[in-house]
Amino acid sequence: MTTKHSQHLTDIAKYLNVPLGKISKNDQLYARISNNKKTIGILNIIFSLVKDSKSNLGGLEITEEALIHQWLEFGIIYASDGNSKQNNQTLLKNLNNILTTKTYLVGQRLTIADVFLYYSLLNIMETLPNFEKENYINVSRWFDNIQQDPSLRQNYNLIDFSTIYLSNGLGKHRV
Amino acid sequence: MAVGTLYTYPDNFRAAKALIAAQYSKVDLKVDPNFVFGETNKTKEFQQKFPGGKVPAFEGKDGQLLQESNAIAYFVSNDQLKGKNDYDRAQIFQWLGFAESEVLPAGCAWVFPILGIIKNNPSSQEAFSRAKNDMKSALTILNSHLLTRTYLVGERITLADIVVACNLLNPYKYVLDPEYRKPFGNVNRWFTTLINQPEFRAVLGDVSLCDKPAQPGTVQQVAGGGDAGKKKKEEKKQEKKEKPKKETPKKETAPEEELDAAEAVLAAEPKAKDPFEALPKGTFNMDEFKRCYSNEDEAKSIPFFWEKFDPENYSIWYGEYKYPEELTKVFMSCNLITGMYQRLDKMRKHAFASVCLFGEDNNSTISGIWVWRGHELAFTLSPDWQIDYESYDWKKLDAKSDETKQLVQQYFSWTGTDKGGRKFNQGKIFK
Repeated sequence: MTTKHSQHLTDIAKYLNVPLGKISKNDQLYARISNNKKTIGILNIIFSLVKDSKSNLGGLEITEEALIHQWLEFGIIYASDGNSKQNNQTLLKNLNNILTTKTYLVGQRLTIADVFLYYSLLNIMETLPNFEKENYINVSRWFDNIQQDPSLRQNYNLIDFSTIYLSNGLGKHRV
Repeated sequence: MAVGTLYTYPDNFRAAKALIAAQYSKVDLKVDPNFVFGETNKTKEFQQKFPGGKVPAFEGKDGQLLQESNAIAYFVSNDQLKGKNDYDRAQIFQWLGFAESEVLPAGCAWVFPILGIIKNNPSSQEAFSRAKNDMKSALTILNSHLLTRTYLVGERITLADIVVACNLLNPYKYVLDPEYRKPFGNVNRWFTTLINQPEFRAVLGDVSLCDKPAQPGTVQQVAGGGDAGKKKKEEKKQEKKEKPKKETPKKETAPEEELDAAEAVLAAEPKAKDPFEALPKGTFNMDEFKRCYSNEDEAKSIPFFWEKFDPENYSIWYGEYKYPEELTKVFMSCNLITGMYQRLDKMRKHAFASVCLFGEDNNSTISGIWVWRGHELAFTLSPDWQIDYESYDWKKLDAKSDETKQLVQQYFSWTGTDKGGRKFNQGKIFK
């Protein structure tokens, strides 16, 4: 668990194509030093990275930004590697309900919330047995959509959701 | 540099496919602002380029000519929209076929009677009731496909999404009420995401989904049409919708097409009582006068009018078009008059008018003499008659005055000039 969040920050910086700067950790508290500016706390660091990238992944207005905050916190708190299997199941179940009506976590476009949660859920999804993927069908659909961006996926494996389609009697082709 | 020009009437969901695709591929697809539906596409020049004169039609900057919305949309698409490989491209074709053969027929059969675009006759009634089920089958297929997929093909927005969504646009706007669409959560999610993409919004604007079930003839709105004929009617609907604004040349259509549409609209409305019914009949026999006017020379019919006219129960009015500076081509102005006549169809029985155009292209006025039962402005008797009348200044004439006699003489016999001295050009009779 110790290296996980710093890995996410590295991945996000790479995805956003901005220098990560120096990341340190003191008493469970992450800090980023970049351009002589110090940012403390994972959430603030993520927003500072988005800001550096000048992308609009951080939200275009205050409501959107607040919702992104909420999802980042959700990811930081609930999606950690040290979770028990049961915790993970609760997490996936909740997420699955929420994603029934949603294509992306916030609004109708990709935001840093989707990006961060993708990195946070990678391990869980990778180890999830196929029949479980089917139980969390909305999470699977969302995850599959997010992971198709090569710049976001970087060197991580493309997680296979094709058994879902086989069980439907429908094949799925992927490039 | 523009990739080309698109010919279409406004708010055409078919044209939207190409316009959205152009947003994605960032090419400049211009909509020809001078295109007048029912006119431009009736010209020989247009039909030489586009046999059949259907729209949307596309003319590329290098002279490429295309018809059929999906083909045009494909042409202006980038590689992402067209599909990355053969299999993706084939799947996109599959969905285009689905959009045209499963979604569109059901959508049109359901939406058009509601919008009053097609007649609500027994055969459309049958299609209408079948459409709800057909639409259900199509949405069921889509819904199960979209359970495990965010977009139709290959996890990114492609032409397949654009085309299927555009064909579902009117159903979602007008008939798929919350209760009906509830079982199709995945389709709803997908559709909502699409219409909120900046590229879709740039073309479609705000799309609000249907909030309660509509019944035939209750929605007075414009919608995308099926074949060319339906589009004409749709064009007509738009004229009705935009009543407070003054008619622009864009809204002109040929008289026989308007009649078609007027009939369709009438058929979609419940049988209304004759609004003149409440007024006393009087002694003036409108039909008799009209027969005389049609068959005899004005030297006979005008004295006949004064002999029979019943000033107790009928009134004579002078109506003058308020915006002569907006009148351009003479034939367009004439269509303005005949268009108004068509819309006042149900008023014919107890009214007569001669409306004349004075002057020439770009310098003309419209005014006329009206006769109807009762002493009030007749247009207020029925909401159906209120499309055009506000564009005219109305003055009630004193039937006994000499001035009125002169005006009647002038307008009934199509002679003289307007106040500005413009010569009589053409007249139209409402009878």
